[in-house]
Amino acid sequence: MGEVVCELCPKACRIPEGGSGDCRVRVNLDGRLRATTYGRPSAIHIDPMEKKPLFHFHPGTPVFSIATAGCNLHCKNCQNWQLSQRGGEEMEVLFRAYPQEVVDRAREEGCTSVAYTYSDPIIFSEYVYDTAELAHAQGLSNVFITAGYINRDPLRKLCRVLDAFNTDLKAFDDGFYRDVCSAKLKPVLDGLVTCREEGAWLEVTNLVIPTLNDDMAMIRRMSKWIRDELGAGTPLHFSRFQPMYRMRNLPPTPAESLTKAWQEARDVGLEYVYIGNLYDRKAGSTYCPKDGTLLIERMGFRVIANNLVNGACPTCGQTIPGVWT
Amino acid sequence: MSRSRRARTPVGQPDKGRRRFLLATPALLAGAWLAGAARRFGVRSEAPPRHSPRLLSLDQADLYGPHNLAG
Repeated sequence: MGEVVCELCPKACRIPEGGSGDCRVRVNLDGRLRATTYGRPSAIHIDPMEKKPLFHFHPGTPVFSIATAGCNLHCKNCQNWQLSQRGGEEMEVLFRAYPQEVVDRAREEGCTSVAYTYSDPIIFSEYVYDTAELAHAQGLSNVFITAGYINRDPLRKLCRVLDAFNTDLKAFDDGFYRDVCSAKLKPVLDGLVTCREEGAWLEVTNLVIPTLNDDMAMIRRMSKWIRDELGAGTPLHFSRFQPMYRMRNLPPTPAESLTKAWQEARDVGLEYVYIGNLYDRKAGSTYCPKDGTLLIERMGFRVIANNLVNGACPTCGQTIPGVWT
Repeated sequence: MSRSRRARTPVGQPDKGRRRFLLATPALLAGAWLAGAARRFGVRSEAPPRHSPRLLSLDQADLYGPHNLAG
């Protein structure tokens, strides 16, 4: 029995017998790679779709959300660190929830989608795949909330059963990824392009952290890259940072920084730009890029009004990209 | 009132308190250096959990309860 190499993410951990990868949950048992949190989530909740955030995917619907312990990134600002920076055996609670049980419970609760979220679902991708396949067979959609640090082949496989992604693009700077997240930028960009190629619905989130990634020139470069590589119709969410985990030395993101970032992205030509984690009715709602008609009005995670008609603007008929029905 | 420890040390004998201090200092410095090095190389300093996780069924999940998880 020797070490095994995990080929799931770009870290390519070489795991010795009895050891675990950097994510803490993928282990080498008797010379075989095992995902220890398969069927053992530690967080299960029903959230609104807008909380993920996904603004152009079945708006206003409840989504059955699950997560296991562990993560392949170690972001110093992680908001869910009590879940993501632990192994399964370190959790207070594990739920016994095999894929069929998850799908049955989601349907009983009236959810139309299952979300793999909170920690990074990449590290429990076998559990995601099996659950998502069953969910599809029973008419449910699957959404994946991720930092996107995954190799191309496993991502392509997941894309077969996933309908929507919200991927964190944490900064447009490799140094930030190395220093803050213990990762690299390029695999994340490659993953975003792969998602687009595979045809899954895609939204991008950028958490704006004061002094670390709030440089407007960088935000402009990132917005241009999204426009050119993913399309101007890709929704981009700028999210407000709150001091967390190992980054309590920085203040929350000022509202002005978020507004500036929002304006930069719109100036570059992105058509659907939003602000999150901060109440802003205008920047939290969807408008027609052609004539400015209010299409979906939101208050926080609540949809107040949905004026779309068959996925199009009721005034000018402009088709709005997304999955609406 | 009793005399101080230093005052009790007989003349010509080494001061025990001072000797202990001199012996302990390098050990403390080495320990601190080792702890720093271990942290740098990813060795976690927390004690392993003294409990096993509770294994609950899906029926016991509080699906609608408040939570502070992002995403």
